[in-house]
Amino acid sequence: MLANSSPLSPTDRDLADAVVAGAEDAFRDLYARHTPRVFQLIRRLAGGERADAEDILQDVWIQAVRALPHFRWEASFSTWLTGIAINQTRTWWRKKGARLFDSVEELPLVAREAPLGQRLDLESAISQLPDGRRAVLVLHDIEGLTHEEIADRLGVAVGTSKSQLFAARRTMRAHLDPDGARRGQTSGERRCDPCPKTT
Amino acid sequence: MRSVPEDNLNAQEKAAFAALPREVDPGHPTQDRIVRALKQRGLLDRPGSSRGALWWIRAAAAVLVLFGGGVAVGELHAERRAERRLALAREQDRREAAALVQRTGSEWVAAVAQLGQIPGRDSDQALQGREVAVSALLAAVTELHQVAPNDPFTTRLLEAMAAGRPDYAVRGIQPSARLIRY
Repeated sequence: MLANSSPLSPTDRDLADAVVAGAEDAFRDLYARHTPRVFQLIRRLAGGERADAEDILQDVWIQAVRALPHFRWEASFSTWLTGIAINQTRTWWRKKGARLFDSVEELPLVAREAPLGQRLDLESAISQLPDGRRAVLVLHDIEGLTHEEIADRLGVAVGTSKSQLFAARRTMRAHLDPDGARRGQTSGERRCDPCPKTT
Repeated sequence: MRSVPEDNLNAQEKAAFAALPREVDPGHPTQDRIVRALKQRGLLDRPGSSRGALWWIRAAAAVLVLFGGGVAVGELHAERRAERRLALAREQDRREAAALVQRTGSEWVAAVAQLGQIPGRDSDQALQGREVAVSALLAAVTELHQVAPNDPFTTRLLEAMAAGRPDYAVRGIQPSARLIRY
């Protein structure tokens, strides 16, 4: 990512200052630098729907441009924008009435969309996870956030993040290998190592 | 109370996650749509930004770089050109001076040789011609001595000529003043 490049290339801050002044070309440069990564994150969080992701992306940039004059540059622009993207996705979840973090036990191990004998690719498997599980898995396993950071960004307890990640990985494995998951369920095979302990 | 178990990804799963693309470009229409949305909300293209602040930042940076580069290149060129021109002028002066000496020297020798072909060697005109030739030779040797004062041959030549012309030293006439211009 080109946060800062050649001497003649403006920094994120140069661009942001120009955007605050209302410069369209500066916005387009800043957009081009950061949108591909943010859009991919939003699309994964939103379950892979392009139209939804585009709506969220628009809200992200509107909020970012509005908030730019108050950005203190204590974090990188990219980190700040990612935070806005996660917030806007949460808002989108709320608008569509999604119950983000269901109890892990309430959800089926094998997703209804995965037909018997059909292996899904990883991206599809992620997209078919329930919203909350998907969010934690994407932020933890793909974006590299810690459970503490995820809890802070999503407004949940650290334990919730951990349990959702556990469930997400289990469900995802079931998506990727439904036959194996079913075999494990029917034969009592333990697919997690170690499995959850109840204390 | 339940504790959450450890469920680490295995190497294959980690590799699969690492291989997932981190970026995807939503395309130009989405960018245009967002730019329009920002403009509709008055967040872009505000008065005073018609040229764009970024444009000015880039322009200022470019002007500085061009100016600095131009000055440096100009100084270098000017310095090299001046040195070259000076060297050429010096070289040309040296060549022209040497050519002038050769040409006038040949003319002088030819003129002296013509004196011998004038009928009546003791005539007033012949004596006057020889006097002029000797004076020119003396003046030339004197100038040559000034050019190369440490040259022993020129020094001895000048001393011998001055010894043969007592009036030269007695009168105190500066040799250069006796130069005969052709």
